[in-house]
Amino acid sequence: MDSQALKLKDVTYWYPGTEKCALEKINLEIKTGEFVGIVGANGAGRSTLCYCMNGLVPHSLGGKMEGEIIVHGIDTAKSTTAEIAQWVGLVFSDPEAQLTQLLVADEVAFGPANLGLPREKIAQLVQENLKLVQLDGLEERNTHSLSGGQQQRLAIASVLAMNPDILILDEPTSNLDPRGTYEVFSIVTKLNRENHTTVVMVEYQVDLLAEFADRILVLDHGNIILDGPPGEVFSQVDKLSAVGVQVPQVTKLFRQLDHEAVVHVDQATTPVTVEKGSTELAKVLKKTVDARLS
Amino acid sequence: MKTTLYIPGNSILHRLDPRTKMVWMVCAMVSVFILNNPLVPLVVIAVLVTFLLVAVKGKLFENALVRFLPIVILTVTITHGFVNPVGITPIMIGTSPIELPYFGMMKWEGLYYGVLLALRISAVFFASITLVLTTTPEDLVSAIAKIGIPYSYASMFGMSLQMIPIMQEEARIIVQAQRARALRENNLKEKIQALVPLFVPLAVGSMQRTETTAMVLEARAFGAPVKRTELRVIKFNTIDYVLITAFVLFIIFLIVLRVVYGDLSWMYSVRSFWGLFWPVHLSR
Ligand SMILES: Nc1ncnc2c1ncn2[C@@H]1O[C@H](COP(=O)(O)OP(=O)(O)OP(=O)(O)O)[C@@H](O)[C@H]1O
Ligand SMILES: [Mg+2]
Repeated sequence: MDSQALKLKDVTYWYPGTEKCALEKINLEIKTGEFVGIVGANGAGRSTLCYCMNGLVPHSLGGKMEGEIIVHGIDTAKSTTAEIAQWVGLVFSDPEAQLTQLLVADEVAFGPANLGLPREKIAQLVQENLKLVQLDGLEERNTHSLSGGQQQRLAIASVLAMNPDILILDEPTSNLDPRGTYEVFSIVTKLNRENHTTVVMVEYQVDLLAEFADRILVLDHGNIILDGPPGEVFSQVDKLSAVGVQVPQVTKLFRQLDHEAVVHVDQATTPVTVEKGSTELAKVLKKTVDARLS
Repeated sequence: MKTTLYIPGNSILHRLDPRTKMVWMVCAMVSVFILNNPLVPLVVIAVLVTFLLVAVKGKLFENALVRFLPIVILTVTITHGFVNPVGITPIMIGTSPIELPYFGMMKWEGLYYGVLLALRISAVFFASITLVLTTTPEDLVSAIAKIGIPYSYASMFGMSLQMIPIMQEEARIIVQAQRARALRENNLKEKIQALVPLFVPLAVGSMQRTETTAMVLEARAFGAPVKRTELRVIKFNTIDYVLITAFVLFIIFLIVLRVVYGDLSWMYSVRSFWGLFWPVHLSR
């Protein structure tokens, strides 16, 4: 397989009837099997970037696009979203607008049926994926009678049932409780590690992104202003808060400790995950205690 | 929240192929117009209502449309009684006719015509609700696709059904929000005025949602260049063949009657209430 999952070259995009572009000269390459987190303030262009990755920009949304988008080796300008859907799965941010069918089981079966998979295989996919998001037993329920969180998990199951090589999730946990959020992260991480599914995820839960993602993109007014491993990106506390992006709690703690001269931590090595943070803290404490004793 | 008219159950009607019920619907519609005789729609209504009562029992009368039917019947009958130009013989109670200013007298011929029309409407109505009350929306969509209508149109039908509960819920939220901001709706005039600020956000909201849903459909490979898998197997069983044959034979029988005996109407000999439903003068 191609080791490059998707590539955007000099992509600029204007929504129909707007003067200001929603994305500006975006250059981005994502490798197969990467887990990329996208953060940014409201209106930064995160959803628009997602829509670029499966051909909705420019086909369905209209407007004007410059540049080139290659997904799974295909130029999206020369294909359709429906065709790209066999490789690229997209979970939208609005849970209710994502429901296309009356029954839960039909919702999950919809994508695979459109791909023309055999009926027995579809039945199996429905079972597996509903179980995965813990909605098994609700097969015959009306999709609109589900809670927002359940609808969001149903949308995720419906996309996973299509077995995408590239999985894009636009704020998939906005309606979920902490446990549901953590579960979505574990499901996605498992797919990423075991099936080498490429994952692109828009999230505001930076603590979890820092823990699970390989790479973080920071969007601001249609530009990618930071791009790198979580440690590198999230440690730039000042830059992030200037564009309205949260930093992980641990990072905040260490920057504060550094600021008040309790400990000295280099900006570049500031821990961004709880695990790294606690090791670091243990080290610092040990040093302090040792210094006192001697 | 009730989203569709479907009433769950496991009766003969529920188990019929939806296409059989569609044929049934068409046959009922055609049959009542072959003769100008109220006995035909009466028979059709009797058969349909019997089947429906077995299928959904008393729930039949909980349906808002069914409750509305008597009003339709009365309106149609009375209007025709007064204004239909076929009327010649005034209806006398004792020595006085039934008379309305501007409309004139109620006539037996007009009333006959009104009753006939009301019965025809009822027959068509019961035939139609047989389909929607006893078929799940999913099966209905599959059946519509199966009779040759492109799947995208069939599913459009299914999706518009889905919009109903969404819009209901949205309307409820908007009204609550507006009440919280002191929307006044004390009398009828204010209630009607209050519909305007409700309608705008509702329409805008539903348009935006439709746009997103269109994108969702594409992202789920709807319209991909492969043959879609049919998820529901709908097929004719023996009972379907038997019933379809029966409907068709019934239609043929009526056509034969029409050709041999004419329209079998006794419009001009009705002189009593029961005479509207039964040719009294012939049995005398
Ligand atoms: N259909 C549209 N027509 C015109 N402008 C749009 C449209 N959708 C989004 N925009 C504009 O494009 C910019 C980027 O929007 P986008 O939806 O990508 O932001 P986002 O980062 O996903 O934020 P959020 O999800 O919080 O809205 C915003 O300035 C927004 O106003
Ligand atoms: Mg968004």
